[in-house]
Amino acid sequence: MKKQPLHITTSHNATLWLLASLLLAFAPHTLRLPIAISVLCLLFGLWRFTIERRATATLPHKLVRTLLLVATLVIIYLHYNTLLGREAGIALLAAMLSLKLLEMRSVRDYVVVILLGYFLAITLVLYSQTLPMAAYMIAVAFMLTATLIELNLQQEKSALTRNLKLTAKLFMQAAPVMLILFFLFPRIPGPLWSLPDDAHSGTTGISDKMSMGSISNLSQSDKIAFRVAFDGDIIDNNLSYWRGPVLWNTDGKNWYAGNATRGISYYRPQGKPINYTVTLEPHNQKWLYGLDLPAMAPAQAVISNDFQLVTQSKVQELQRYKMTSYSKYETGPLTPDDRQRALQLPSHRNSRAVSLGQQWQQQLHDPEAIVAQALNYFNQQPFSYTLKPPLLGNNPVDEFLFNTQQGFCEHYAASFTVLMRAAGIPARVVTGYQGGDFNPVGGYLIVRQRDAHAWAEVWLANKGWVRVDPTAAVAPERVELGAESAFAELFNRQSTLQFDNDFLSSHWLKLRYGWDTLNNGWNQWVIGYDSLKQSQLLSRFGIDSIKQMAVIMAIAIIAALTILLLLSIRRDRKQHDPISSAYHRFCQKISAIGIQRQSYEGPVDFAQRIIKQRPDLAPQVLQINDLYIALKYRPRHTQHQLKHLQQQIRRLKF
Amino acid sequence: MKYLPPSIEHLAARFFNIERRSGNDRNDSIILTRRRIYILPTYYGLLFSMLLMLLLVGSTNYNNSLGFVLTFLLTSIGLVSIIHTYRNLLNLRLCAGKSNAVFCGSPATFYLQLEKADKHPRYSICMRFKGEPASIINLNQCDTAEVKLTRSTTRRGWHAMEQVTIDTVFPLGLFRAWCHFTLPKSCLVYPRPAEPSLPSSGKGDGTGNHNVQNGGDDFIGFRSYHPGDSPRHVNWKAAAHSQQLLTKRFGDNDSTELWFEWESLEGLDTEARLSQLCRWIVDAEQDEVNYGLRMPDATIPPSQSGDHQHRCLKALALYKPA
Repeated sequence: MKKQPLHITTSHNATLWLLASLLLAFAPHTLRLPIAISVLCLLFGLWRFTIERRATATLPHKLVRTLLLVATLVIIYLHYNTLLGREAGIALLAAMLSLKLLEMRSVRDYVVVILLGYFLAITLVLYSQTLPMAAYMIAVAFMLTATLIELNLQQEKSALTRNLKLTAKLFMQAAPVMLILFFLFPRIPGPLWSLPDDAHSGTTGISDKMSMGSISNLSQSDKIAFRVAFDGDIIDNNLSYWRGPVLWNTDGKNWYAGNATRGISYYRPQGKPINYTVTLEPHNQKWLYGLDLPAMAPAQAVISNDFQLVTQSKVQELQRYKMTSYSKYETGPLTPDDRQRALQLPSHRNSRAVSLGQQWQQQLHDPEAIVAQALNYFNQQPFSYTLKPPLLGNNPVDEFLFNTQQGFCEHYAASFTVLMRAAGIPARVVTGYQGGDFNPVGGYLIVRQRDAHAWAEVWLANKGWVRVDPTAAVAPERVELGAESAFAELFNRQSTLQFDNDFLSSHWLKLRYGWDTLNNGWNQWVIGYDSLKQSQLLSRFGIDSIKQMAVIMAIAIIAALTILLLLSIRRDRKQHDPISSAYHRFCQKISAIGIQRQSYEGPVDFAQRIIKQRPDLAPQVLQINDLYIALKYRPRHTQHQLKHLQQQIRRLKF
Repeated sequence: MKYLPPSIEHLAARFFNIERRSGNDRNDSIILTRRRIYILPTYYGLLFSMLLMLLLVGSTNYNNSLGFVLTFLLTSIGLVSIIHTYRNLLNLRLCAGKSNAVFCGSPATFYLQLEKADKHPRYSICMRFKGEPASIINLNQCDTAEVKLTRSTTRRGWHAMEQVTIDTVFPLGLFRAWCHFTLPKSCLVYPRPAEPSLPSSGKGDGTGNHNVQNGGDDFIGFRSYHPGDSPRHVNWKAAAHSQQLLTKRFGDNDSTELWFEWESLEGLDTEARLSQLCRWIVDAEQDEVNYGLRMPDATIPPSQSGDHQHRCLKALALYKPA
């Protein structure tokens, strides 16, 4: 294979810096990219590294590079079936970037790669906008900027610490302007065009379809679903039901929300209203969560007739909304349409469960007695509550009720609802979250994915819709204490509550809650800072229009940069050294006897010329000269020496 | 590094209504003050701003706050780098140093002293004459540096220092600060010496007493050995004591005095005559022979020394045909 010689016009160091910073930018992507692409990218980087290490450096031939390009494109296309979109786009960017390493030789190539590297850095936060990820992204930008500095250092020995120091200085000086831009740059509400379909994939949460096992999967996740700050006292754990999708329709295996009707959502509230603010993490679904039962909908949602908070578009950014709920309530009558939906059952499935329900209806007649009977059934029979329920077949409710008897909340909620419907009682499944951890540091409730829950609602003639949680009949501790303590053993890990050492455990908890409080602030002020929040914040300072915002931003930036410039120039002046000014005085004195120092003349030459013309001055001149040179060019000198020099110059007489 | 085309530099200078300060300086030193330094983005700066646009659009589209954080961070780093680039040139002092006379055809060399008064280190400062390779200077450890700038020469005479460009793109290469200046310094360019001719080529014969080469009988001194000297004339005794070979010189005072005369080269054009005279002077100086120069406008009596050679060559360099 014929190889092209490598005519690199830049230093090896720039390449090493570049490779290191690209590796840093690329590392988190390896978790998501197809393995083939990850391996290829790393191989290309390694290839360049070995080229760099060898003395006889040659870049691969153009033909080889073209072949590699085609192969990479094919791999990406085969994996994603497209070259567009977020995921494929990132794969493409990473692949092109690492291929570019194999043809990078001029300064221009390096700059292009560094700029693409910045682009790769920004793709990191498409997946995660947490505080650690922000720090990581800034670290990548830091390394790339250090590379850029290294690239611009010519004919100078590169020094690691100096380079890092200079970059750190740049970043620190950039911080004020960055903050001004962040808060004052007029934000336009996005998106500017429709995002690719996969733009928000990877967000977890409850969906509008439930099957046996779908919620227990969620329960493995520690991810935060939302945080709630209560205006008053925090509510009891057993009232802490956070209402999500209401599932009416079933085919006997799966449950669906169907179309939420936007009828009148009326209920008679009882007791005190509960006021609170929810900060909801994006979950890519068209609803918000509210405490059972929400009394109103925030601005971005409407309330449906089954008391869901339905939004116009998917929740793809952090949402923050104020809510009011009542935990005691009485809903109104049932429309014939809703009654029919709440009794619908597929005829061909779960026949044993249906006949059990029908049997109870014949025996007991009274709906409340039937509900009690069902809960009793769950309680008396050897049912157990488990995170890893056995797999169920085509008649899941029958198999669960009569054979396996091991299930998670959705098994109990679904089976209970089937039994109720069979017994002629209108019933539906409600999904959402139950419980949460209270964060005493920040004073708010944290609700995580593992708090995901499903329960049932039955309609009783004199009460309206009543919440019934069959899980509580089997595992009361789940509802009383929350998911974490209920599953401490099931999760098979050391629960935070199981530390033997109380002291340690309390400090560990404090640390954890402190960290979450920090994250909450981060969410409120950085992640949640959008065009709405910006206009809210700025109108407090009397800034109302985008024009005003832009003018103030420009003035602030110019002011910040001017201050920075003045500071850096002033610091230079301050450092004006007394040694030079002493020597300057000496030159002035000598010029009085007609010997001018020439601009190109060094001190030694000048001294020799003086002595040539005035040999009588030799001892004095030589002494001054030696002192000056010692002070000026030796790294360490004393204040005493400087004083001596000044004295000598003062004493100089002709 | 790629820079913006000069026409844009002109436009910028006109826009800011700053006179181009070049050639106005009587002093032989110049300080790069605020008003002398221009600064504009480089091509890479423009490329960088395009990247920022892309990042901004992307962040807006995904409503990604951390995207905005990175976009704005890079924007402000770019802005701050203006100050760094600017300060890299600011308050530098340039003094004209010596410049050695050269023969036409070899590059004229100007020495400049670059000096910083403050402790702020300077990196990657480029200095160049237009169209010539740049000298790159770092002022890190020391406060001063000597810069050697070369300029190709095509004619004899005084070469005033042409406009020098001092510029820097450090630290990020996104902006370029520059200043054009000249210092009142000239470099003397001698005529180009003609091709060496055989020792007794006809031209000089009889006119310049050129043929007399160590021809006399009287010992008149030593000079250092040149290849081709007769071994009989080498002072072997002295060679045994020192490493140096010395050649005994013989001749009589009359015959070692050479006269190079303008008039003797009739028939050639001015430059060819000057070149030939130049060659003779160089050769004579090398052979340590006394020589004199007779030009239409000046006569330099015979002598032999570096200074004498310079005087003669200077007369040639500055000769103006009537």
